[in-house]
Amino acid sequence: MKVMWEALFEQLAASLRSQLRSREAFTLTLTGESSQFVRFNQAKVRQSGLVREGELQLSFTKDGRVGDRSLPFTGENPQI
Amino acid sequence: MIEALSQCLDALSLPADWVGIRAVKESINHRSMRDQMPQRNSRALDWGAMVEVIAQGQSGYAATNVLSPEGLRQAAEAAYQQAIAASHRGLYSVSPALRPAITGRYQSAQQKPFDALSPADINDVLARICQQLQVSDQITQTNATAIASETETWFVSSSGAEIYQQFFLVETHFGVTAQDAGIVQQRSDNGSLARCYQGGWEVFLGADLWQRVDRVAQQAIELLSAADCPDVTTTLVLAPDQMMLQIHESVGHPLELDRILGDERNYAGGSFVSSEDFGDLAYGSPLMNVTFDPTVAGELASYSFDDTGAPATREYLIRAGILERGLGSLESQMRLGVPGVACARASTWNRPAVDRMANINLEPGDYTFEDLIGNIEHGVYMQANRSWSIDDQRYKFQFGCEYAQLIEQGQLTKTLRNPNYRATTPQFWQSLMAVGDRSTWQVYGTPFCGKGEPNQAIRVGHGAPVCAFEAVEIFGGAS
Repeated sequence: MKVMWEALFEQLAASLRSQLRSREAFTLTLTGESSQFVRFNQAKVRQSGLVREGELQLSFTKDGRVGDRSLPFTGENPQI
Repeated sequence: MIEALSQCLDALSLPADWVGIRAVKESINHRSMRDQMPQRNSRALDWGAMVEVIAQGQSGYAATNVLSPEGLRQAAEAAYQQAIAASHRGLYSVSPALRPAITGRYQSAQQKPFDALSPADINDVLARICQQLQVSDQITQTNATAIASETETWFVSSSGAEIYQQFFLVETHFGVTAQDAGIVQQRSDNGSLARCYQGGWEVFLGADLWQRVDRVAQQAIELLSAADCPDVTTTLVLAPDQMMLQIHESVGHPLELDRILGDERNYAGGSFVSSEDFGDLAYGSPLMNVTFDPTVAGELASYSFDDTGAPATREYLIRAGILERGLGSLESQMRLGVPGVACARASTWNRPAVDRMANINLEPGDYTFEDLIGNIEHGVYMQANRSWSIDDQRYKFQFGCEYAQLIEQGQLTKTLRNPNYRATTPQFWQSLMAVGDRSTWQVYGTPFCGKGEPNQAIRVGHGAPVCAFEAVEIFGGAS
């Protein structure tokens, strides 16, 4: 998953770079998580679960103005 | 979406007793200014789904933002494995009966939709607020924020639940910092981000917006030359924007059944309330009536169903001072053997639901504001929360406010700065001596109620009238 995500992220970054015009800049950040959480009470399991997610954060700058946008990153196109 | 999720459920071949999918899509536009300069212009889109499986008397969860049939199938399989792996170490037996087979819809009322204002329009309003707050050189900083969110949730289950809820949320704030020599004071629009409501831009751009802007700036300047709040035990009157915090910390949190059960003891804490107290404990004076009310139009945490599909109804938590009911999901009610409410809530798709507050309100009494103040020989009237501290059993607390006025012979007289008060929860609520009527009742909220591991910040609403408490320990900041 990590290799696929990073490859797609690099493609997105390259695409954005190629579209930059004068006095424009951006940062693109990929944050991903694959976590296991188990909550205990009295040495017994209260809740047990997994979280798998990814997020892209784009910060775009032009002429001293900044706009930020974040959106889900799945590594694939959403189907529904 | 409901149909697509139902098809995913139907395609599963898990030997589970129950499966539920709760999908969430949230879009947040956040704009803020400081001293008329943009500080934040952001748009965030988040979506995903939590799959819960009940098998062998245990529930398991798996959250994913891959909403394809295959992504959801993999999540359901993972949730099933979580349930099986924990089934011989479960804290209690989970039954599919705890997940109602309910169908229904909910939508926030909205008059002025979010697309009625462009980003430039919103930035212009925020800049004008900052400009109008700058009434003097003693104002050293101005700030203004507007956050507009749309949240949609879809919930389907193998037992037939089909629920769609759509929330429109507006959260706003503005305030100033004022300074004169070594004195620094802050004043804001009812406290930090306290004006949080369901609705559209109409809740921000109301008729009194610019009056509130002027009042915040003028009162900040006023505080610079005000006397420090005295150290005295006297009558305390709290405005609804401080009652919000008072209700939240010393009624809402201690009545969460999962705290009483010990589920949250290592992080959020426990409670001084025990299961035997329900139906018996005199929590406050007979004037104290507190409701869990998800039906108040425009209040931040109104909804028709909680995140396990339980239908939400208005219920008394405390009636005439007697504790009747807790804030607990169907699971917590079963485990503790006390009545609760539909309050199993998750901050978003990637967290399981736990017992939370929603709208917790203090019901109005009989006094107009003038009559309530007029009956007090000596006291202090405090507005807008500035700081709070309360122990992990929610018993002993100390709260501070932005702005106060002395009450003398039934009149509001001079302004006081750095007002604070302290008490224990039962002592404080037993001292409730007068409750304002509907004309004094105001609704506020916060998007920052924190609880759970991993942490879940959730939105709650609190409505309250002006209230008076006798013989409260009040103190200032000078000592």
